Amino acid sequence: MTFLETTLLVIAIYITLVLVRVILGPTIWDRLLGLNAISAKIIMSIVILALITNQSYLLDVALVYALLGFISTVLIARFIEKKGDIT
Amino acid sequence: MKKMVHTLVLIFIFTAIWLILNESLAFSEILTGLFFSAVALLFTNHYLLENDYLSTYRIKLEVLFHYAMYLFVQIYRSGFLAIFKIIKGEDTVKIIEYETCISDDLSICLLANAITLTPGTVTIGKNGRLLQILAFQDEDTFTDITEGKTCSPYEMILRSLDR
Amino acid sequence: MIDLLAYLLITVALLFMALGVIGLFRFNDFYSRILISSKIETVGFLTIMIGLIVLSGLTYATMKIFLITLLVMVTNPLSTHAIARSAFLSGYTINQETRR
Repeated sequence: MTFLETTLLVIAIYITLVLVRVILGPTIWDRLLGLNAISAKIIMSIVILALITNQSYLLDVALVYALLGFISTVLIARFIEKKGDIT
Repeated sequence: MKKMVHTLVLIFIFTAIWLILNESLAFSEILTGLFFSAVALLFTNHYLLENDYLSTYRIKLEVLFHYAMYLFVQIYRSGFLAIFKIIKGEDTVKIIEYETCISDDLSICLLANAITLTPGTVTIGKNGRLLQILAFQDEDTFTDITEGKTCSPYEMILRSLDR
Repeated sequence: MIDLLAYLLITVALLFMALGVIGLFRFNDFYSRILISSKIETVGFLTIMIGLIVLSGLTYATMKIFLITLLVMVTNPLSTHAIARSAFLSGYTINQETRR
């Protein structure tokens, strides 16, 4: 097991722990915070995976994932803030 | 003349990003990169923005670089301070009303972004020059509006963006 | 030699992220959680990306990783800001949870 694979495993454990917070988390904003943290960790995992397999097109996937995670977080936050009325 | 140079710098930056995304340095790639950068700039200028592009995003690159370096140091400094807060488990927070010294709208947005980026403070509202900051009880870089006005070092750097 | 530096940086980043995850469970108040956890993630993200850049040398992939880092550094504060603002404007007051 190389060092980068171990790193990937540790990040996966962190994601599981944050998922517990998302499931427990008393308010909806805790869940959003967990979603944000998980999305950042998934970007890291994709970049590490690209380095392990030496295929740089995976980095494009990471770029798109960063944009999509950002847009979804902001959209859900505004949806709750305006109580469902987005105009 | 100055506007011309600024536009050319922007086009070169966009072309560099295009080349990185395509992972090649061939001549045809450079040509398509230049073409698409110019088209993107013109399109944004004409249809997406209300004001002129160059006057909306008038950023001096050297000031931005200096700012990024300062921000980098600050992020690590407050990151290490935040470790002690986690170990101690201190959890009293407060909301500060803070008035900035800078008047440019883009600079205020950069400042708000920097405040959120450093661990321990989050901007939650912006109303003109008034920022609402969520912080821990012992935060001292940004002080409340009632305790007199001081300029933080961030604003000292950002101030040179104003022309 | 340069690989060792990269491994050191990545280990430090993993420690930072572990502290962020601990912070998510240690605090009772939502505002403290958002202040600590998501921001220590910023430090962790920056460190791990610098480590990966050092590890992969000077290639196109490195520059792409740099672009991703830049993008996340701009967008991450914005999403944190959106979450905190959403909670604040919806009337979530400080220490509401501890009273319950």
